[in-house]
Amino acid sequence: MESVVTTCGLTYRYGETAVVSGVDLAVPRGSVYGFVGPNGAGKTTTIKLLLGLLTPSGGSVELLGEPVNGRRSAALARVGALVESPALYPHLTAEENLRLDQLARGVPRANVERALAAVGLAGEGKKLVRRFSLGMKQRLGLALALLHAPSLLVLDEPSNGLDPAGVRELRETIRRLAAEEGITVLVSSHILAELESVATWIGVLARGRLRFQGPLEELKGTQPGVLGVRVDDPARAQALLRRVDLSATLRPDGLLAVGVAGREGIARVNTLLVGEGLAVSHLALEEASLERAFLALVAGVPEGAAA
Amino acid sequence: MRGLAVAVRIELLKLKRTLALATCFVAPLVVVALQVAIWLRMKEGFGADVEPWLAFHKNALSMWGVFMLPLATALVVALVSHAEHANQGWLRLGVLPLPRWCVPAAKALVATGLLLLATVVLLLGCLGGAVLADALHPKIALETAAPVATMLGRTARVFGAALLVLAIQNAVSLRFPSIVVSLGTGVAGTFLALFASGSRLGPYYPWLMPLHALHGKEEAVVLSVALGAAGGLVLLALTVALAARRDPGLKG
Repeated sequence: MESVVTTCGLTYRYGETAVVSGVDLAVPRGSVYGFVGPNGAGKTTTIKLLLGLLTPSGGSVELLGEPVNGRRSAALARVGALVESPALYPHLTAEENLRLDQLARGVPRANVERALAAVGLAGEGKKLVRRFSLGMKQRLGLALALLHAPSLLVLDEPSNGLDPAGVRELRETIRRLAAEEGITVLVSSHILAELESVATWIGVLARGRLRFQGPLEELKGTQPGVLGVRVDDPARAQALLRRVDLSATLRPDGLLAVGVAGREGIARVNTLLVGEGLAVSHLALEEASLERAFLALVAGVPEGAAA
Repeated sequence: MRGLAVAVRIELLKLKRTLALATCFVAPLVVVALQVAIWLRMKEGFGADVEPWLAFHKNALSMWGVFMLPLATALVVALVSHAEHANQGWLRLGVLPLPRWCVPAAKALVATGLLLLATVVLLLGCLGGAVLADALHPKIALETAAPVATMLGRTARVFGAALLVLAIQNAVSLRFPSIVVSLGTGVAGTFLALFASGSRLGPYYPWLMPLHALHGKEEAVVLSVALGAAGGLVLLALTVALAARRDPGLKG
């Protein structure tokens, strides 16, 4: 699979501290790559390294086949980015803000209107940005990133400051850009649920190191499924399951949460419980969540592990 | 050079509705207004040996060179850089496909252009101010045409000598995000000029160079203009080179 972002041993040190250490990213073309990590994991630093805003202490970065540290302008020409909060000039109108980037990127002036329309700010072009709400500023930041119809969009925590409707709208926009316009999107967030519904690939960063990279389903697959079971005698069922080395936890809602792997595991639980004369009234496999897989990956990473 | 031209255009667009641009008109016109007020309070006319046009211009240019020019420069240059420091502009400019050196170079060029604009406004203001004073005061008589060439030469000397102060302010305001540091440098430089003016080393003090370029003996004029202009251009170039090496993603 062709990668549009490739890093090799990417490292960034701040003094003696390694903020990012030996990161090998590979973002497949056409994917929505969710870049997840707890606060302070090094996501923003990694993104700044990708965009040439910081010079790596070690390793290399390629965007769309161009080395960022060698041919920076060529590498950035087809990349749209929103890093941290949107960088906007409040004394200019939305149109004027876009016009600055339009000049720098040498794209037609019509792109300004198109970009505003793409983020739902079509009627707001003449308004001064200082009068914009936080959500509108965030959308204008996205319009700046989309102005030149990029092949790669890099969004760093784009939902910061958005209300729930805004977050949903942003998710839809990302989905549409990837599906309809074939744009590869790398989006970082610490809000896991936000990425779970939109990302096709996931990279998990913790303490500056990449802990996982691959399709969303593969990440979920790193966790055993949980089978929700309702029986007439949960305590007896729990004892029976533990006897055959299956973990079973009784939840407050009366369901037993049983760790199982595959269809065979489900059948085994059912056969065991029914065979022991228990009445099973509910048996359902709960899908592994990204959050559970993520927590398992980042849990127990020792302090300073990246150094 | 296309990158530099684009970066300059971007900087010029960003000046819209800014205090930096307004300062280039207000600061010199305040000096002109003050000079008109001084003339209107005169009880007597001028002696035969005084050329009124040049007197008006030289007085205004003195006030400009000693006080208003360094303070206006500090404010204008600080505001040009602060637009990026305050709005994460360095990150935004950093992801544009422009050579890195173009951004600080464009800022230096635009800041120099703004200072030049303010100087031109002062010159034009002096012409208008003298005419106004002539119309309002019965004892002031502008009997000859304005000696524009002489006025232009003096103005150019002051502008050239002021380039070092501009370059110092530019270096400080690019490096330090706080506008207070930039303005503090300007105020301190101007204030210390009061003490440095009596010193033997006065002509070498950047904030006094515009004054020496106007009032000094021939040697001092040449020295102030040469040091101010050459030193300013070298420091501007050095600042651009250093700023281009600094990662835009670094904080502080």
